[in-house]
Amino acid sequence: MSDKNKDIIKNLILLLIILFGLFTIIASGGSSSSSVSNTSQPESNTEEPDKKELNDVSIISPNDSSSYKSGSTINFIGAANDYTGEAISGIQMVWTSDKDQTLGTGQIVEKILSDGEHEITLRATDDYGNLATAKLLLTIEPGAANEQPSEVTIEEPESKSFSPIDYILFKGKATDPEDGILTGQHLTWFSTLDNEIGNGESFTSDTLSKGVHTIALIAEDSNGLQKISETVDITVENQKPEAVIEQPDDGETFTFTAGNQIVFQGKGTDHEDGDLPDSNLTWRSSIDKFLGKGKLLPVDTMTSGEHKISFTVTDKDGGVDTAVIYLTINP
Amino acid sequence: MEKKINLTIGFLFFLGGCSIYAFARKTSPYFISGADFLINLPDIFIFSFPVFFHTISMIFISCPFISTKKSSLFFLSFFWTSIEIIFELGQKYPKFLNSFFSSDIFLPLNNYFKNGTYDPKDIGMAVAGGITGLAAIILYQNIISIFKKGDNLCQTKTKT
Repeated sequence: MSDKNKDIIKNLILLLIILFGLFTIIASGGSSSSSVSNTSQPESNTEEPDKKELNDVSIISPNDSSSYKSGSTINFIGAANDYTGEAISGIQMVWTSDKDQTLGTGQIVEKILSDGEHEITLRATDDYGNLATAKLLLTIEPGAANEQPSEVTIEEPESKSFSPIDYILFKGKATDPEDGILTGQHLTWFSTLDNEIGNGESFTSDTLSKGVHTIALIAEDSNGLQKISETVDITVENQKPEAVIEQPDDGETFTFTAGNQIVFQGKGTDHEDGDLPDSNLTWRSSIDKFLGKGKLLPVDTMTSGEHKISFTVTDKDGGVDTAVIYLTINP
Repeated sequence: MEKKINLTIGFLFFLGGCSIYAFARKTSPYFISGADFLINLPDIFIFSFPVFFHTISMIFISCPFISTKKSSLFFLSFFWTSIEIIFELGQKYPKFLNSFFSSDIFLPLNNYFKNGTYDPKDIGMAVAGGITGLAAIILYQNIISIFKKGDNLCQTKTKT
């Protein structure tokens, strides 16, 4: 073999070694990641808790293995959260079809697909760079198009804030050119925080999570074709806790003698948190300032005078309530 | 003979790295269930030594196919250390790289950058691997050349 040929072979082997080296780095999946696959499972490392965490993604609409007539407009609706539970949206959610390539970005995408079978992929990336994907199969059948539902409207609620103890009325309507007025399971109510929250033309709910919900009504006709309403933003606010002073009574007069105490007793209750712990219950005096914390607080001594006693309770979302009594301490 | 020894050393280091994935990293897709006999190794060994081993092994494996000049060996060491560092830094800036590798063709590479966790210790290990690999090869070549000179001396003495 000539020297020239030997050199060519040597260089080819060197190139293969470089490719092998790069391949083994990628195949390792990163210094501590566990997977490099593109399955419907969240993909991230789980080795070290202080590092990246999982996010999750799901396709809410359309259903897997659905069929649509050619030319149908399909609403793709997905939901994804990062490990803190915060919703992922916008360009961080990418919809693709193996046949038609990129369909769009965001939680909701409207698209007409080409005829044939499509594998739809929703890929969500969180702010930490974690990737999760969900997939489904769709078939677009050639032939006359079934028209999608029309006039899908949310009548209630309006965009406003609610207390968590409020019953929120959801009311909407939808009609379909083929099926007429759509009712029951053909109408699905969707919240960006709680996903599916109910079905039908109307219902009430007092179980929505705290926070800002984007509400959408999804109407689906008998052929599985869907249309989504304009969205409405509502806020479910934190309910304030309640502070109650059980003893001493308001206006009581007290004289400290050897060995006796005033016992302050109170409780804090919250709609979401229930009975609040001692650390969230604070007693203060207008004269002696901070007295202590807890449901039961024995106090051995206080400055003589007229005290305004404040009992402040705080829930875990920062909601505060204060109860007040007046005490007179004799010298 | 020298080349074979280089390749053998390279593959031994490579197997060392593989054995960590197979026997120590419980969450690795290559972990062999039930064969966790390296699992109690210190974390730095489990999480950062594969980079060290990989750098050394690639230097040794590619060494027989380049010139034996010191400058070439320096370049080889620099090349593999740089590759390891680039891939590690890619995990720190996945969004930046995502714009270059967004196509599905690059999905494994994209996933590598997005899902991998940047760890500065890995960069340290890549540099340590590069320096160790270079030093080992130069040392090894010096030893070989001493042996060769020794052989020549023996032969000369016999002739006279």
